[in-house]
Amino acid sequence: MKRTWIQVVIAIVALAAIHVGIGLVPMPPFSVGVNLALFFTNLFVFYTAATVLRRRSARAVISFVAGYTALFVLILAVLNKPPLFILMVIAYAGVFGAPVLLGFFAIFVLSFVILQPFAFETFIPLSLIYSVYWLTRRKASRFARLCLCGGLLALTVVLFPLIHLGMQDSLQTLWHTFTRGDVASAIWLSFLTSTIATVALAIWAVPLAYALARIDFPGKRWVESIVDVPILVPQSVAGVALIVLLGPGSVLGSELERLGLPISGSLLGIIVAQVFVAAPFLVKTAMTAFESVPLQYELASRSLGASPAATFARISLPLASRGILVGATLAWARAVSEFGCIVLFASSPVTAPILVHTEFLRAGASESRPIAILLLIICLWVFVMLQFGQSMMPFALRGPRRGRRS
Amino acid sequence: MIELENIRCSFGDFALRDISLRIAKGDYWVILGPSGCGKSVLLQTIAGFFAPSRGRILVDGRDVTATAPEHRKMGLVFQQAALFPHKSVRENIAYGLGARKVAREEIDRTVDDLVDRLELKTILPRPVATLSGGEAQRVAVARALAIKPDLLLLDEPMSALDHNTRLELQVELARVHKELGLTTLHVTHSREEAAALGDHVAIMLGGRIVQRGSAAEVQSRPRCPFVARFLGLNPSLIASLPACAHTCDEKPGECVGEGAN
Repeated sequence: MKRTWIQVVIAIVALAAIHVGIGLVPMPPFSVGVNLALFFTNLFVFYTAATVLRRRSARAVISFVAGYTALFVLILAVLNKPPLFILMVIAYAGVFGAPVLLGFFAIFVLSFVILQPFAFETFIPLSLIYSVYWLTRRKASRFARLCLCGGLLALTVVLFPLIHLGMQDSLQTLWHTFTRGDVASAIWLSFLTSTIATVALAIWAVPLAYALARIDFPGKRWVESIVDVPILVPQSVAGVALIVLLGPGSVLGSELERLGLPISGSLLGIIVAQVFVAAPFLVKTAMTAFESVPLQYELASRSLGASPAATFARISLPLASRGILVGATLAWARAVSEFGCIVLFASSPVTAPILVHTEFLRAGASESRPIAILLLIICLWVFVMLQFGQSMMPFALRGPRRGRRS
Repeated sequence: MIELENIRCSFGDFALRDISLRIAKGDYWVILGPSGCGKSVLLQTIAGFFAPSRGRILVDGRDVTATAPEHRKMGLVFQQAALFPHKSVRENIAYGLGARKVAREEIDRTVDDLVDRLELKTILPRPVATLSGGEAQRVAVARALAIKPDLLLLDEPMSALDHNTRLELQVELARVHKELGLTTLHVTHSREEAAALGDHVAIMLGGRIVQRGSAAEVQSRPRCPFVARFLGLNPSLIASLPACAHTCDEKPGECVGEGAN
């Protein structure tokens, strides 16, 4: 007991000596006040460390000192911000005992001190990834968790432009932009056409996917590849192809125009282009969904007396509905985001991606930015809602209830 | 009365060869054979999912060879019960009746009767996904029985069950069969099942029926070394049996079948 007190007194005296020493050098780096504040801070840190590090290994002590030194070098030596250093060091000493908090503290320092211009957009993803790493600690091996978090980190880097973009304008600016007539109508138009395109697509893509999942025929693999062609074809090529077939002056285009159904430069044109680019996403996803429904369910249903069509409607479709909904969501998202094909083939009326482009050409990045952010936020919101929606309604599209005559 | 006349069915290197079988009303037939002998294919052919390349299937003298499965009235039960996971137990049992546009009151009456008969009352409120193998299989049997099938087809219904559940289901099946006088065709690779259930046993190998008779008959007088070996009889007996012209050991699938020697 007595010896401990002696150690403490020695340490305090040593600490005081260091600070007096700093104050006495010619051209001292701190004023007396700052030096005094630093002295008391260090006293606090020392006290906390002594509490936290009691009965801990030498490694813990060394890492504590290493962390302190890192903060010292970074904030005091490089950035020369004593008040920040005082705050950080006090926080550091406080969280050192709890490994979780220490991790968050490290991320905080990284984001707000080192990557200061991107403080929020780095702090939020990094702490989310760290939380995932921490929360999965009992569920998976360290290797799997490192794979996961490494991948998420790389994904953050890839998506960083979008995250950064989302932080650019104030809510006020966004609201002001949203209430602009052309912006609202472009976004509305984008959503309307994409929804119609998705429904139109589903009408033929879902049955096709079912057939592809159930029937084997020579050349089936070719058909499956052909379904993917719209992903493969550059959007500008698709746009030109559509113009050649349906554009003004083409045989089919002028014939349809005569019948009062102008394709190019109309709502219909936008929808045609969207169906073209979105088709593979729904067909492929729905096909996987149907393939995951065991064939035995269908055999059982048919042996019980349901026709193939009734079996499709009452067994296969409900059981594949989740997957189909996922596919429809992807297709919808692809349709909303379509630009290259529409800009060539049906650039008016103006959809949201086209508006971002024309605003950029007209007035540069600063003018198109709020529209881009708005579109980004709204699309993400709808996408997330649809994704959550499908997982929250396990019995969506449920078949007829018991006893009802069909 | 169900009659199979010289059923032939082939795809790839696998084939059913001239299967003939007469199943009298109320009989319980067990088709016994090793995996890959074609017994499941035979069942699915009878149910209507494969078209035989030759031969006929007659139900009470009526040719159903070209009839679609949904118009055949064959109750099919799979190894994995294959209950519809998005429907309740009751909806599962009633499914066939709903599909056949039976009146609601009658559906309710039939389902209630089957629930009593197979003692499913306690299972009724439970989600299908939570049923144990044996429970699910009983519901599957009830579902197949609901349509009052001409023939109940059981495709290895107990292979996925543990020993005790299997015994219980055997007793249950035997009882229901007796009560309802159901014509049943039960496919299995287990000779215990065949011995316990089969008034009539047909042994199948390489797409042919090699021997038929009562379980006791087959057990005591196997026709050829293959049958004896499959039934687990003692080696000295196996050695004493005459092999077919094409030996069972070299080309088991080429056995000429019944009537060869």
